[in-house]
Amino acid sequence: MVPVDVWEAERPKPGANLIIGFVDVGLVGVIAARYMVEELGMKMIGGIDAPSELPLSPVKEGVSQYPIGIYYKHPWLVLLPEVPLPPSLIYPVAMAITDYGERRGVERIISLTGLANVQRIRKDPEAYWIVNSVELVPELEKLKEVAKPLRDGVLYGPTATILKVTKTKGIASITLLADAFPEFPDPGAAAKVLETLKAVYNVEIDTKRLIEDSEKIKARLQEMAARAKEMVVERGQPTMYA
Amino acid sequence: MRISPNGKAEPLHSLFEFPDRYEILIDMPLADEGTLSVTLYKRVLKVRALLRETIKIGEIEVREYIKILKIPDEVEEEYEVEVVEREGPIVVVVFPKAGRP
Repeated sequence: MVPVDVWEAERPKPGANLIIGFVDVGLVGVIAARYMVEELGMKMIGGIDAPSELPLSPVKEGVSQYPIGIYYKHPWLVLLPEVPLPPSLIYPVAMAITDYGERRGVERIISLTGLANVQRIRKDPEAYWIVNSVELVPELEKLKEVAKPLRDGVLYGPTATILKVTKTKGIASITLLADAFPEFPDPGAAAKVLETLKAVYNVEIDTKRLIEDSEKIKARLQEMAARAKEMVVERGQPTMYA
Repeated sequence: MRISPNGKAEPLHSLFEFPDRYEILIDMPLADEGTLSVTLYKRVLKVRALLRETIKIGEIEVREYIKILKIPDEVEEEYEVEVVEREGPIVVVVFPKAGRP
């Protein structure tokens, strides 16, 4: 399997909630994760890399970064990818994330993502959930109050892999989704998943600024959305729920 | 998104096929709708608009959107344009399919 390195300068306390926002439909996950890191003032404590498959380094203010940053402010641990994952890395990275969560004793793993909806231009986003096991997720009743379960179908992409891998390991895993543009950055959908996260898990986060700045966020993220679309084509599978 | 050195950016688009039409959505956040122009010539659609404010992407300042698309062969050359506000303007261009009832 492709080697994946996990580096950390600080060890998070056990019992954290691990949040993942992949570069996926509508960039919902990465927009939501990035906003959460900023709003909560989270500190970067490490990173994840697969140097043999990712010969790149994001740069911020003149400082090179890991392709996937690890941010922490107890009880929140957020993994924030800066680039879309090539198909060869989806399974190795999902395994590395799950192993890391298991070693650090996380309470649960929560993936944030978009649900491609061609009608998004005519409707506000609704929130949905998927869990990897009803036995592992005690907050299921709360989830049912604030969002709808995703009904029958097939989920593709890195989020799907996380659900399967955590199921095998007996780690609670929840995916929160919102209706999103299939190919455009969608801060509105990101705000919806964050509001759902707040309603279920009491995270102190205000999405007002995200909504106010949504147009500028969309403009700045068009390039990332174009690269994410290329990666979907390379995978040969849709990321949408089908 | 592709950006030319003189500040013109190519916005993202999506193409949806329906039984009787094609819809092309062009995402143009921060576009000034008053400067929007949509033209069709020899089956090439061109959509342009200035931005309400200059934005910086990397080291390049972006001031204008330009999208050029060849329309599918099976559509008629008449079209309808709508601008929908969804966290910024999204231009919707609808082409009916040829031979529709």
